[in-house]
Amino acid sequence: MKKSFPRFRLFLILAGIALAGFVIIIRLVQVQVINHSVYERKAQDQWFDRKVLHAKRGRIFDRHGNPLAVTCQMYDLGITPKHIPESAAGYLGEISGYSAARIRRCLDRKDREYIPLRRKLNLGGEELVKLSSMSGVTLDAVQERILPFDSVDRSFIGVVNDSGRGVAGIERAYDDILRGDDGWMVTSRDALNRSVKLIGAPRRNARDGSDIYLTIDSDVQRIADFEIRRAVEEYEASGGVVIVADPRNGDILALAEHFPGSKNHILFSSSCFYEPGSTFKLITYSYLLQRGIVNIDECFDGEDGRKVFDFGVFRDDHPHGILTVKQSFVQSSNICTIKAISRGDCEDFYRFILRCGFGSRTGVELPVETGGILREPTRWTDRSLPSIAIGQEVGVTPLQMLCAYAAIANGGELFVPRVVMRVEKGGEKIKEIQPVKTRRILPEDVCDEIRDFCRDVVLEGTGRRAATGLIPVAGKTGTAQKAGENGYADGKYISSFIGFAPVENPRLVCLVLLDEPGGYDYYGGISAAPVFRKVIEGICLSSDRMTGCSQLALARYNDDREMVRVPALLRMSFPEACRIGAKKGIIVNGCGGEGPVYSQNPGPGELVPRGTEVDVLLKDEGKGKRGFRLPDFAGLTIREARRELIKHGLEVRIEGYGTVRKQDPGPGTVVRPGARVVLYCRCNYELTCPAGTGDGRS
Amino acid sequence: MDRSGFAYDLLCATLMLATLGMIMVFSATHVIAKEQFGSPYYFIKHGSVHLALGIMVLYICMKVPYRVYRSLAVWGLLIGVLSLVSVLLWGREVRGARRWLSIFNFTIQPVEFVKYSLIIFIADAIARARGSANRLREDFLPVFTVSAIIAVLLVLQPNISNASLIFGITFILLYLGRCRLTHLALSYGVLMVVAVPYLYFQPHVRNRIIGILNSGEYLLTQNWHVQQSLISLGSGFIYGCGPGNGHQKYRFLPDAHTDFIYSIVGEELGLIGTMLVLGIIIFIFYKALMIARSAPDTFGRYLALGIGLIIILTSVVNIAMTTGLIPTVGLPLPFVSYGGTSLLTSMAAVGILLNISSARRYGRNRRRSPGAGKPVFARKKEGG
Repeated sequence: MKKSFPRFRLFLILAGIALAGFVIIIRLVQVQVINHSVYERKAQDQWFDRKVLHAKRGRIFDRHGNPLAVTCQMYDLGITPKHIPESAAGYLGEISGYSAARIRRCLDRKDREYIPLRRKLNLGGEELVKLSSMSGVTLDAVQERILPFDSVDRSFIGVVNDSGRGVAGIERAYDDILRGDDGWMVTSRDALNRSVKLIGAPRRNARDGSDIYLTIDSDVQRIADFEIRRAVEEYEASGGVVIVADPRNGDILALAEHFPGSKNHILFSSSCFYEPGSTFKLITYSYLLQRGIVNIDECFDGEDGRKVFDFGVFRDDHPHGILTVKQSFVQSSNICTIKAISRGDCEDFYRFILRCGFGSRTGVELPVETGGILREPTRWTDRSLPSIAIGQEVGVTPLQMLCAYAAIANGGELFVPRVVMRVEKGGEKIKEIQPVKTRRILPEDVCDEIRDFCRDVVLEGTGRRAATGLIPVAGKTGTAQKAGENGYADGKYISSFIGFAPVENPRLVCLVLLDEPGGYDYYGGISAAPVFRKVIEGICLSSDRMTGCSQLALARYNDDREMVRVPALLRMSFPEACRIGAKKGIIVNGCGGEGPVYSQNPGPGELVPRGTEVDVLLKDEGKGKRGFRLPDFAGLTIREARRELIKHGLEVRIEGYGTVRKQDPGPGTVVRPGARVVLYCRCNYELTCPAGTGDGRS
Repeated sequence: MDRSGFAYDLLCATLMLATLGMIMVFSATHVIAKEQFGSPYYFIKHGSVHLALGIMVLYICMKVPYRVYRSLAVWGLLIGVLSLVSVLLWGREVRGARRWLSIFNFTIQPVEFVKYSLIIFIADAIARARGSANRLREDFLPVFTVSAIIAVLLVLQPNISNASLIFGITFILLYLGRCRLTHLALSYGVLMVVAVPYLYFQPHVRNRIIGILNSGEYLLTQNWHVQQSLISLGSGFIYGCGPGNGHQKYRFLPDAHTDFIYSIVGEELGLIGTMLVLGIIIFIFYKALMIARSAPDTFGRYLALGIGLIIILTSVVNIAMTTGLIPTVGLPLPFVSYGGTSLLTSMAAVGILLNISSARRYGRNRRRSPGAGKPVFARKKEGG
């Protein structure tokens, strides 16, 4: 009997086992220590996700704290049909605004993993809870930028793209401040992609963006926006701009642009230039007076509207005889102006224009600002000096013109237009932007002289239609031909009026620009000047901006109840017109059909004794049809819905902001003219600042 | 009874390993237990019962003189084979394999029991051949036939890993039992001729081998187990992320509490943990070897060696599998993996080892006594 194992065989077996053990140890060290980082990364990849915590974009307010742009939490709704019971179709339909039948059709497509149902839904807390608890419903939170105050244009306030970046206007210029800093959070998940609660997960909190307070005054903005829209429609212009600024510090109080055909978000006021025409004569005469090139009592011959110079033929639309220097400015005589400037020096004139801020950017905090076109004197031809003197051969932006006029108005100081007043975060002021004086361009006495010139333009010159009894105003008209393929295009004009009020110590400077006004109203004095008047009057009557300097005139208008200004009743329904008329103290007489007002007599803005009957013609849209079947307004903007309703003589009430979500009475209901329709809008945002301003013009 | 030879250190090592296993099983299962059974303690409760039963079985086996098993060897084998047959007939199917038998609400895996029955049978056979099993008909063929029958029954489950283990143990024990090399070589040849074509036509075997050969490419299909196991081990580094802090148990690592418990050890206890477990297992094998060397008789010697071999080979295969050295197989890590049958039989095996160790001195004493060797001779006569 063997007493032990065979030594050699045992050795072999043990050696084999030892070898296996050795290999395993090597392998463990390799996997756990040497290649640790490789597996660590793989592990991190499958365990953790980095979730972005979106920073809340800062809000944009006007100078009084009214919201101009706010961010609203919205949700994209999507469904996975196979996980949703048929019974939920009704509720989903109610939420998404589709019919239950349509939802049911979506639910039938069981093969689809995901069907996007509706984008950007504004959901209340209750709806949110209910939807989140439903199986098969996906809610993706998205941030939607809304402009609660619809009188301010998107091209100015700007646009935010889907990734939360400002791509135009203020949103782009102040993107860094508004956007804030996105944070992140590490989330953990299991192999089935379900989230696992992680204690002490690393995260960086999002830092919300700061709020911006613009210099925009929404009262002024509302007036400017309304007037430019009306003017563009009235004069059949292709577009128009109204900018109102405070000449004392360069604050932009209103910037309204209306280009109905334009789909992009280019801000005309700072990004586009035009030939200013006669409005540029302000610069020319400032130069002539400052350098003493002409004497104030000097006279020039107007040559009856046509003069052949060495360098070409120039004309005046309205022929003049002998004119003084002041008269030639007031009557906007090209020939007299050219005669006067011919004594000047090209180089010197060029430098003066540069000093006035042309040919370079104003420095306003808006994206893609252009400096316009001003060629150097070395590239000038013989014709250049006279052409530039009457506002041709030079490209300026509306803001540059406005700044130059503001400088004349405030006594010679050129300011950088200020758009943003201050930056606040959580109610705490973190940055105050002070007005920036660029330079003095003229001495006080020349400014006084020029202001006097401008006053006469309104009193007896081309800008008589800008005159208002409320307040003494001054300004200059301009009519410029637009450049076409070869030379100037026939019948295409830019008419403008730039003025300030009151004449002594101006508090407002306002630019009105109409692009391609139709018909024979293309003269600045005919189309643009009345718009200027209406804007100034509107500001005087509705805002306290003008008090202090026109107390007397205002008092006369307000206290002396005998005279009232006829309100604009166009496009209103008859009941609405009556209501507004009653408020103003006039009686509205309707005749014609039952549609909206399409004509009124006396016209809007006219002064009439109190109690005057205003006849309005109502559009006959009914054609025997007594009622109007309401369409579905869901998804339309307030403005679109409102226009449609007013056209049919219906009274509109609006709840909330943004696009329409629900309406009362519902779609398909037949309503009679004069009935009230309530539109419930999508956004009910909460504000921590002073109360909102409603939907704008109401 | 003289207990001076009693291997306390073996007992301690075993209990330590089993306790560590309990902790790791709890860590690996509390997530899925909560999901599947509503309580994070589901597996740990059952594991505690298993451990308590295991300690009882260990104690019993420690007390029962190991020579008793010699006479029971054939019966044990018979019961084992019958249970394997019944598994094939009535067994519970899990993921395409019938390996479990449900009796009175208990689920048992007969193969664990059969392995040890076979060890006893082989040890008995070698002892009958007085330590040199070099005869073909008397020694080699009976053992090989029994192993082959068991292996075939296992392959039918299919449970190729345990079948291979059975053959491995059989060959090693016969080899150490001074079997002729020609017999071993011939039978090995026959085995390969039958097994290789058979395995080649088994898709799951082929896929696993391909998975190992192209690690990375079969990540989400065949190779998922291995990749996740490596991520577990690799992310553990030297110190591990601490017990309970692992992330792989969130359903990334399949079978985390059974076959892949070693990966969890690696993730949560790091290289220190994996080395510790490996060290304890090697220590147990070393103790088994020592006990075998000083066993009082041939049967005890080969029985102790067989037990040691089963423990070390199962562990090595399991660890090699979790470290991606060999294809995925279904062998648990003894003492550590969750599984009642495996734990009970392993504890019983340690009990037997302890019994052999304590019988050592007694045996020597007996050899010196006048009647030494007599019972052995008598028993041999009976067996012969």
